[in-house]
Amino acid sequence: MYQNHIKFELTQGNFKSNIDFNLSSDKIIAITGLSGSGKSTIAKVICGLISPNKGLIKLNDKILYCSNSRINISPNLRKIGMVFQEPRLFSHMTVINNLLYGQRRNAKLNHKKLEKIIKILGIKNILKRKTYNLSGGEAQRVSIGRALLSEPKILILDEPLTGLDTPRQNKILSIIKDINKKLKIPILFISHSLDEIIFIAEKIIIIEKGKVVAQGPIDEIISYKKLSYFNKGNKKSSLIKGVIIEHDKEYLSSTINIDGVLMTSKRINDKIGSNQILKIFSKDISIATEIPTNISINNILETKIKKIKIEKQKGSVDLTLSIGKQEITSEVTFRSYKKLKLNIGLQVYALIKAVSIVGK
Amino acid sequence: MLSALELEALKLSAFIAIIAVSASIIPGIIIAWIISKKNGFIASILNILVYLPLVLPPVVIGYVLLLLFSHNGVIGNFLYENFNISVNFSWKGAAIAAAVVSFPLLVRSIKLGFDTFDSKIEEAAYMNGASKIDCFFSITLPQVLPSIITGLTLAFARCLAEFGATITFVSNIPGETQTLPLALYTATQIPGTEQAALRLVIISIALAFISVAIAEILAKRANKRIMGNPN
Repeated sequence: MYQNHIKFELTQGNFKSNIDFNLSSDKIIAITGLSGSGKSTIAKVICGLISPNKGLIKLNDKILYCSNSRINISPNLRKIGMVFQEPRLFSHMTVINNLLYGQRRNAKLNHKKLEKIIKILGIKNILKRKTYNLSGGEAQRVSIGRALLSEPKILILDEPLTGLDTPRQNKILSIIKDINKKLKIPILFISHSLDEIIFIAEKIIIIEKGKVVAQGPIDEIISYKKLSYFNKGNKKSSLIKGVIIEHDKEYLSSTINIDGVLMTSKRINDKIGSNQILKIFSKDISIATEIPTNISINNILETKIKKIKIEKQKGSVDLTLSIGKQEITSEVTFRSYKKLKLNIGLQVYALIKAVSIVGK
Repeated sequence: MLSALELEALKLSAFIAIIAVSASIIPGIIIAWIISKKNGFIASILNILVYLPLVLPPVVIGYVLLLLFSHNGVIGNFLYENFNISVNFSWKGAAIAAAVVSFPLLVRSIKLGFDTFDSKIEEAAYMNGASKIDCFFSITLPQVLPSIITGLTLAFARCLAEFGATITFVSNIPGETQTLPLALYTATQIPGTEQAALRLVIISIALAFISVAIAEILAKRANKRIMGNPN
């Protein structure tokens, strides 16, 4: 397998990037971090659209940039398929000419490949259209196709789902997975959305203030504490791993074992014994000091408070609770916190209203 | 329908305007690109120089051209000694005058096109394997085409209207430098030719109307090609 090494230092104004990571995989790798963490900068440096102060960029054993030996291959010769946040289509051309733009400059026309890509992307009906009246989702699919047809050695997607509605986002995510599987091309997927990443990537690299702070396979990195705060908006959530142990046909529910603690969720369409990643929003966890009776909530777990973080300005308190060897966070109001006299080490009951499955 | 003199002036006007504008296209695009994309001292000076003809009285331009292109002038001497070309009192001089006067309008429009063109699209072209030159011709130029067409229209119209610099530089010679405005001027100077003057006015208006209308149609088409919206 090819070795890819991305290492560079870059100062832009008062923002400093100091990035160093290896990619030795033909899989989908996600780069994530909050906005402003320097994710897109990484893509631009790899593409050669920004030159770093120093470093080494090596893709497929080929050196694209090396400050020591003064190598800096220009972007058009780097063989990188880049999909930007906006589709950036060439509006004076039809869809098919957009698709063929990169292809013409990199390889002989391969009808089979062209047809295959058009089929994967589902854009057969719009080939003759001009690009200005495409919908956002169509335009982004054309943009992906254009990048793929330029015979890239790697595909980089920088927040490609921005501005699309959820069904279209899901469609494009599935297409990206499909591309990776069918065309066997490594993909670097840059996104701030945890849902997207968990759905799509096998490996995650987390960027914070221009630095790699954590990297590894999804199920290893899941406990990285900051991961839970990357979620969209201010909806805090926790991620935990579990195994399906039972399906209930009558109640259409599934039972999941989380390090020995059992939880029920809506029926999951997967095999018994399969690993799952669950997401629980912090606001969906209520706290009781005694077991409540006559309550609709099914998941009532005995747990201990491990950490307390008071957010005075919001009038809320974040409680870190242990669940097996893992942790979940509950957000309660400051009023409830006082009323229940909560403190670290106290045994409480976590009332979990909803659990969702986000990945495997 | 048209008299020989009128026809001659009309042909000459159109001919000079076409020559002047055609010769300006390439330098116009290059200079517009430089002053749009570069910020250095030279670009700033170039910017001012290009716009000068727009604010100077045409007679000043005509006189400066006369100084430069006469056989004793720097350029005129060079052309005469090396190529045996003389532009004085000839349609070539009239075309130079028209080109100089209309150049700012051409450059201004094209520069506006480059200014508003989203250069992020160029990054996409690079990542698809296009070199900078390839990208300029395959992406940038087609994208600013509506601005180029607008610039050409304005410049062409300005050439048709050119009077002051031409009469100062190359005089008013029927069949050689007497364009429509100059022919009209002559007509207004001779008593009893009001009818002839009026005819020339009508011809001028018709010519201007037709050329602007054609240019508008072309610009709308180009715009539609890019944005799907004729405006």
